[in-house]
This record gives sequence, C-alpha cells and structure tokens, in this order.
Amino acid sequence: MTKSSSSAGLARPSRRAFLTQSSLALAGGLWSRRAFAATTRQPVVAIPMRATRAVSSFAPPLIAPGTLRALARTAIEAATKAGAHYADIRLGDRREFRCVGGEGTIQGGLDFTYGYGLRVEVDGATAFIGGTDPTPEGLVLAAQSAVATARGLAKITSTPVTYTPVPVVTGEWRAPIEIDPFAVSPDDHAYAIAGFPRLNESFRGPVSLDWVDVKWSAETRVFASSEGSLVTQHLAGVLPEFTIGGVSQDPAFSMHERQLPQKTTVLPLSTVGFEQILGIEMRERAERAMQDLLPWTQYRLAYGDVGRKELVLDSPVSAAVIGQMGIPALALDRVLGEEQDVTGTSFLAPPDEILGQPLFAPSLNVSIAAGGTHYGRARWDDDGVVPQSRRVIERGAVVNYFATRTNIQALDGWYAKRNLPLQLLGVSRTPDVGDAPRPIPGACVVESVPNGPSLTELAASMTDGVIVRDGYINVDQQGAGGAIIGAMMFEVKKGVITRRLLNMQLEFSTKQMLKGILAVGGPSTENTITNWLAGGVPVKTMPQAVTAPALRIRDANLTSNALRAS
Amino acid sequence: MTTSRTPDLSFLARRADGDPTRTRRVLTHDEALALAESALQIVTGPVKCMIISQRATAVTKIVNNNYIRCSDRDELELEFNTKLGSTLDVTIGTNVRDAATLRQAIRNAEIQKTPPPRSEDRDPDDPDDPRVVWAKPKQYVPTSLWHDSTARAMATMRGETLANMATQMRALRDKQPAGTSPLTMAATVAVCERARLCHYTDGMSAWGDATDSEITVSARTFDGKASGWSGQAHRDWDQLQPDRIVREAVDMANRTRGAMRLEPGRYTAILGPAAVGQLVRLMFWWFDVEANRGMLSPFGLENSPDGKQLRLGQRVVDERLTIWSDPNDGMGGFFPFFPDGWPSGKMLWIENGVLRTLAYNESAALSMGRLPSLLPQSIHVSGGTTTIEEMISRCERGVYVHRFGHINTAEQHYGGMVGSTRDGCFLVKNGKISHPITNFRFFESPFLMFNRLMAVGVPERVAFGFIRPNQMTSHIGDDELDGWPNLPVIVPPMMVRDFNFSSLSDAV
Repeated sequence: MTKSSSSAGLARPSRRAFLTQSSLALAGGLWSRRAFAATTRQPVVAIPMRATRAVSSFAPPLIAPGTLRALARTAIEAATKAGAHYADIRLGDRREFRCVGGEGTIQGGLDFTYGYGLRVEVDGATAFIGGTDPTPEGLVLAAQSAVATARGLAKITSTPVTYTPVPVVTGEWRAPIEIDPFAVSPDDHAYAIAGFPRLNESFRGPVSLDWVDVKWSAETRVFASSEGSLVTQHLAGVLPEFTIGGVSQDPAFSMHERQLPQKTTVLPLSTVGFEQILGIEMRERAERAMQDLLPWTQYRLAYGDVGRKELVLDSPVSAAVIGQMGIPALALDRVLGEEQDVTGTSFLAPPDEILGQPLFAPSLNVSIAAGGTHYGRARWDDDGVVPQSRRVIERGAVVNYFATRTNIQALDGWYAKRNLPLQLLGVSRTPDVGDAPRPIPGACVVESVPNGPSLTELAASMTDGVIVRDGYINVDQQGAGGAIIGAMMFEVKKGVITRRLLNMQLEFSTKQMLKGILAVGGPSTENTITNWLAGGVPVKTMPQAVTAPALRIRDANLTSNALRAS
Repeated sequence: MTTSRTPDLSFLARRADGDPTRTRRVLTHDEALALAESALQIVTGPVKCMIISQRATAVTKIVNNNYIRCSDRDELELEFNTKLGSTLDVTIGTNVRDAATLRQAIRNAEIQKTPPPRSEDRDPDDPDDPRVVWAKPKQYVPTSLWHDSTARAMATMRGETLANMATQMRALRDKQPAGTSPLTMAATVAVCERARLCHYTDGMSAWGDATDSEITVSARTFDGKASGWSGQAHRDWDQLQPDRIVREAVDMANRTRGAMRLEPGRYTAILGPAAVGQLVRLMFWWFDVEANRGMLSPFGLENSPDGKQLRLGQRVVDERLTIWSDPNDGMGGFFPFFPDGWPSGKMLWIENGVLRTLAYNESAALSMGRLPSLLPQSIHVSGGTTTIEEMISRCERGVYVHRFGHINTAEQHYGGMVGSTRDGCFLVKNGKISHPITNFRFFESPFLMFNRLMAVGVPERVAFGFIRPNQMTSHIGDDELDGWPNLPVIVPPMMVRDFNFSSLSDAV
C-alpha cells in the first residue's frame, strides 16, 4: 500500500481486501497482553463480570503455604551447602483482581503470578537471582548459580558487603479482612462497583464520577534466611481510585480547557477486605470528593500573571511534593550513590552534613507509619524486620533515613551520637519477590496540626497567591527541585479566590519550598495519595501511601506554559 | 502443521542446565519451530496462532568499583490464540526440559477455568471473521538485528569488560589532583537477546531474533558539585567502546568543576545527541493518530470544526529534518512485524519537514482508509554534517547542553516539555566554551524547537541507560515494561535558537 498524504482521495478498501493486505488486531490487540494491560484499563485475563462463581475459581489454586516454606528451606539449604555465608529468599504467590467501571461498562481482569527472589552473600559479594519457577530442582539450580556468581564477583569487588544483624523471626500473619474479595463472584463485584456512578444522580451539572477503578491484591509470601528466620504472611491490599471530573462554567474557553480532571485515592481505609466496598466509607469519600470539587467549577478561567506568588498546596499536591521529592531523597541507597546512573542521587547527602540540621520549616514533621491499612501493609518487611513507626523529619530536621541491612552502617555515627542502637525501620520492600528489596516505606504521613486551619483559611492569608489543588510534578535527578504542572490552579487576591488559571506551572527548589512553610493545615485538609517510586535494576515502581495536609508556602515562581512559535 | 516426526526438544534441557558450548541463550528459529510444533500437538482448543517470545538479559551495575547488582533474566513464554478470541499464556520455566514437562506446563495453564466465549464472538467459520484464515504466508523485510558478539558478551562481559572498566575507573579516580574533591563513579552494562516466533496454523510464520547492548557511566565529585556522563548503545557489542565511555564521563565531570551561575532566559542552545534523544524519545506518542484526534499531540489541528483534523501534508518542522522508522535500519532496526506477526515495514513519518503519515490502529485505519501501523519502533532523525565543534565556533553566546535529567510532557497541544539539564552544561562565548555553568530547568517543545534550527549534525544512536518506567517512549511490545532495552533513537546534535532555560536548578 503506498503512502498517502491525505485520506481524502483514497477509496476505502473492502473489509476482505483490507484484511488480506494489512495487519490485524487479533483478540488481545496489537499490543502484547502485558503491555496492553499496563497502559489501558483492560484486564490481563478478562473475567466475565456476570459470572457467579468466585473470582479465585478463574485462577489456578494457590500454592499451599507449607509448600512455599518447604521450597524456602530447600533453597536456603542448597545455598549454604554451595558455600553461601548468608542467604535469604522470598517466595510469593500473588493474585490481583482489577474491577473497572465507567461509561456504562464494567470490566474485570485477573492476574496471578508466582516466583521467588534468592539473595546470597559469599566472601563479601552479593548475588540476587529471581525466577518464576519455584520447584525444588529449579531452586537448587538457582542457589548454586547465585553462589557461583557471588563467588566470582567477590574476586573483583573491593569493598565487602556486610549484613547488619537482625533478630531471627518466625511465625505466620494474616492481614485482617472479613470478606475475601477473591471469594466473591465477579457479579457481586460488578454490583458493588455499579453503585458508585449512581452518585452522579445527585450531582447534575458540572461534576461527575467518571470511573471507578478498584484493584484487589492477595499474596502468600514466605521469607526465610540462613539465620533461621521463617515467616509466612498472607498479605491483602486494595487500591481504589475514583476519577472525578468537573467542567468549569466559563463558555469563553474550549471544553478541553474547561475540564478539571481529578483523581482521588481513598486510602487509608479502615479495612482492605471486600466489606470495605460494601460499607459506606468508600461511598462517603467519593461523595465528599465530588462535593469538594463542585464549587471549584464556578470560577472563570484566565491565563495568569507570572512571577513569584504566595502559595497554598492542597493536600494531594503537598503529598506529591513530599512523596516525589522528600521521600526518595531519604532512601539511603540513593544517598550513598547506589542509584547513581539509574534513578539518581539525593539532595539530602551526605548524611553527616544533613542529619539534625534545621533544613526545613520547624512545622514540618514527617513520619513513617507501620500500622494502618495502607497499600503493602505487612507484619514483617522483606528482610524479616518488623516495620516501625518513626519520625524521619522532626521539626524541620532530617533525623533518619530509609536503610536496609547492607547500608544502615552509614548511620552508625548518628545513632551513636543519640545514644541509640543502630535500628532498621523495617522499610525494606519489593512489590515483586523476583526483584531485590529497596528501602521504601509503605506509608508516610506529613503531620497535620490539630485544630489547624482549613484550606479556605490558609487561602485567606494570601494577598497575591495561588492555590494548587491538583497537578503533577517533574522532579530533577536529586529531588532538589522541580515543577508543578498545574491541572488545577486558582488565583487568590486579598484572600479571595478569583479565577482558575490555565497553562501555568510552578518552579521550585525543594529546600526553599519546605523551608518556606508558613502554616500547616488541620486534619480537615488531609488527603492520601498513592505515590509511585522507581528504583533498582531493572527499574521497577513501588506504591506507597502518602498522607499530607494542605500547606501554606511563602512563595514560588509561577511561570507560563504557553509557548511562542517563532 | 502436524508431522509424524517427534520434534527435538533437547534444547530445553540444555537451557535448564546451562550449556557452556552454546553462545546464545534464546531459541534459534529451528528450535522455536520445534517447540511450536510440539506445543500445538499438546494444546487443546481451536488454536489458530501461537506466539513464542523469549528474552534473556544480563545487567550489571557497579558503583564505586563495587558490583552491587547483577540481574539475569531468561523469560520464555508461549501464547496461544484461539479462533474464539481466547488466549492461553504459558510460562516456560527451567523445569520444562522435554516433551513430558512441556505437556505438564501447558496442561497446568489449561486447568485455569478460562471464561466461556462471549456471545458476540463470531462464528469461527465466518470468512469475514478477522480472527480466521487470513494468516497465509507473508513476505517480511529482511533485517540483521542479531550479532554473535553480543550473545558472547552475555557470558564474558562481567569477567572481562566490567573488570577492565572497574580497573580503569579506579586508576582515573586515583589520578585526580590532590586537593580536589575525588570522583565517585557508577556504570551500568546491559546485554539482551530476544527472539519471537508468530506461527499460524494457516501458514503465516514470522520470525525475528535480535541482540542489544548498552553501557553508561556517570561520574560525580564527592562534594556533589560536579558530574559527568557518557553512554553508548548498539546491537553489536563489538561497536561499544567502554574505555572511551569511562574517559568521557570522567572528563565531563572534571570539566564541570567550578560551575558558575548564568541568568536564566532564552539562549542559543547546542544540544548534544543525548540531550536531543531525550526530547525525541517522548515524541513517539505524537505519531499516534488517536492522540492527535484527541488533541493530545501537536500534529492535530486544535480549531478544526470537528476537533479531529490532522496536519498531514503540512510542513511541521524544519525542512532539513526527515524522521522515519525502518526495520532494516543499521542503527535502529526492529522486528519487521507486528507483535502478532503481521508484516510491518518502513514508515516515513516526516519528510523534509512535512508530516507524511501517522500510526493508525485497526479501527482508525478502517475508518480512515489507511493501513494499520505500529507506533514507531525506533526513531531516526536525519541530520547534516555540522560537528559540535563547528556549532560552538559559530555561536556568539549560548549554552552547550550535554544531557537532560528527567523530562515530562507538560503541555500536549504544543508538545511542551519540562525538565532540567545535567552532567555538563557550559557557557559558549565568541565561538568557544567559556566555563561550566550550573544546571537549568527548561520548558521547551521539540515541535517548536525543530522550527528554530540553526545547524544539524551527524546522527548517532543514543544511550539512555536504565530509566524510570514513566519515561518510556512506547508501550508497544512486551520488552519495555521495565525500561530496558530502550527503543532505538538515532538523532543528531542540534543548534537551536532561543531555547527556553526557564530557571536555575539546584540539582547536580
């Protein structure tokens, strides 16, 4: 078929002729199955949503925990027999069920994976091997291969790796849920999801709940080490997302410019079982999000003035700033340069010069939360360490980093100075057992101020400023600064919100912004987002829940996105 | 396609046990056909197509002369597509060693209760059913994507290349002048083999195998005030020059010591190929006709009556630029077929600045009278002959940018992108490099920038290293989900007028 610069003069071929000459979209599409699932709302294994048998019946039976434990022991024994000084393994049997409703349709998809990740240390060198074939023979071969690799690397590695001792742990833990979502039928899932778009009936006009996307996960994960640890965890999680759209009521602009897309994640929840979606908590949060958006549709639109502006970051944005700038910068592997040439380094380095210094506003306190129902909650982390709830930024000073067993020794001096024993925070995690764990906590909280100001009260303090309600962040390689590209920015003049601004972005330095926090919002301004953090080789992303209140910032540089052609 | 002979599956056992005499890890064409033959005899159901895909990678990362991460993968997957629209996926692990274990693996996958056919599924005997019968043998563009040198490197690179690189890095680090902040260095070396067979019961059979390799090195001063980077990517391992890459990264880091601030603003910019490549790699989606019709790309016309008019046939960039994707491109080739095996060929996206075609998915192709086409599987931007040194010599006042950091699309109508510079930013004055400058944030659009060209250099394939998944160029195929290998991007260095360096960046 020859090229054509225009379709106007080209006669449409018959379907039969067309199909003989062209490529087809077969069932599953032009994309591979995995890629398709990754980029669209389409499921990996399509599930008929009218089916009345359990979701789990569409997947192979779960591997019995006893079998996983036996496999773990086999692997550890093989590794130590081959010469490993230390070995640990994570085996996982995981399934995810995703249910998406919107535009009059409900679709469901099921994904199930199983595999392992085996780590060994020989003569100060570490090797990690991941696989999807957890059979005894496969694990023995993997262990022997890993040990051989580590032995070879030890000959050319100049600085040996050491594993900080941790308590040996044994036991079994199950995430508390009342109703297993995988024991529920797709039909019941569909019925529950279908209830959410009905909220639109009470919101005629410019706000609508466009999509509901709920992803349930369940995994049996076993961790074992040559030190004697052996734990089994039955993990559960739910990631519900609502896409709520609004349209500004300003007819002078195109529909595209008038749209206000807003995605809301409703973590933390009181529970992660199916009872969550049957209860009213999720509905109330969705309804609250829609009510919250409604008044913001009434502002006129305008292209704003550039310059330094006072700033209020609404909670999804403040959570994103902390989550994308501050949290990665506290990962010790980045601080020590292990992510150099991959995701980047850290502006919070070196630790000796950062720890304890008043870098940020004294009103900034950031903690990691061990409890709660956030995405990825577990009794033990992926190094067998119990997660701790701790402040990592206290009164504006960094007081801790996220470390693993192999790098926490870098904080030795700091802990000694505070007369504390070196302690891991239990933040070593991996979303896929086939990848090595990284120090990323499952949940972080920017502490709000009890009885603190509301969003409106924070805005009222501005003479010439901007409220940023939503947007995404471009981050530099160190987390030192970035730009907030604002999907929802509103101008404030003398404490009054005047207009919604189009095509604007805020450029900032992280230190300056967080040093310039003038006020922290109260609990009424809090929101939680899912923050996706990347790292490791191969690069993988890991979800994390970040809760934050609204923040009043001294100022930042507001610039225009509008480009001139020349 | 059943035959009376039993296919030889002994390669599966050799794969499981590791065969020291074998230079390649992925299946050969004959082995893939034997596996397909065996598998089709085992699987139940009216299978019309079977896809075998295998990817083997070996990635090593060293930091400060320590091997901190080795990641080896060997993923072999079978995908059966039936006439009723259902799909069966089977992962072939290393416990599959012969016909018996292959049978067990396929049976295990079949045990899952796949959903019953949907009521709207067509009659499999319907001759107009697109899932049936049109898969007759096809012609494919010949390609040469496989290099034995790269396959060999998978086994040897840790012991040889990386060991030499570590020694070289140590030596360069020790040579730093006393009193200066020492250097820390990191390198990532990655090698990949891929194979894909799309085999139809009606006779169409598409086969491709490919190798790819990449080396990147970054160097930073211990005080965190200077940094440098270099990288190279090629399907042929023998074309990579590790010692040059290490030297360039170290040299750049040393040259950026003592960086001074420069007022942000619009300057003439001389962009190295790595910098141009980082902008171009976010353009892959621009060629999606659906993105353009949805006003998510600069190639759509915003104010057209139905909102869907395209800029086809219009000059969209400088006439010196031609952009294409060619399976047989010596620098940026790819499998000459869609993931499902239907042939695809060279696509001329932009010719002498004029937008010639876009990528049409099946429904858009049917409705617009076009052939379906993949999104770009590589991007090759034509160049000129001006060297970077010549560009510098012609520049009265400007900025040389070696590379950018993380880039995001900020504005879809014009393709506006934001990010920051890194690893080498210099003030150019009166035809010479004057001194290093601190990094900038920028806001610029390649769509507009390509209309402000002052000079264009010789294209080369650029390296990206391991990058965050949200910076991937495309979601086509099943290899890009973890960010590597990157789809080939072949671009020239460019000199552009009025590049928007919007503010200073604290990052190094």
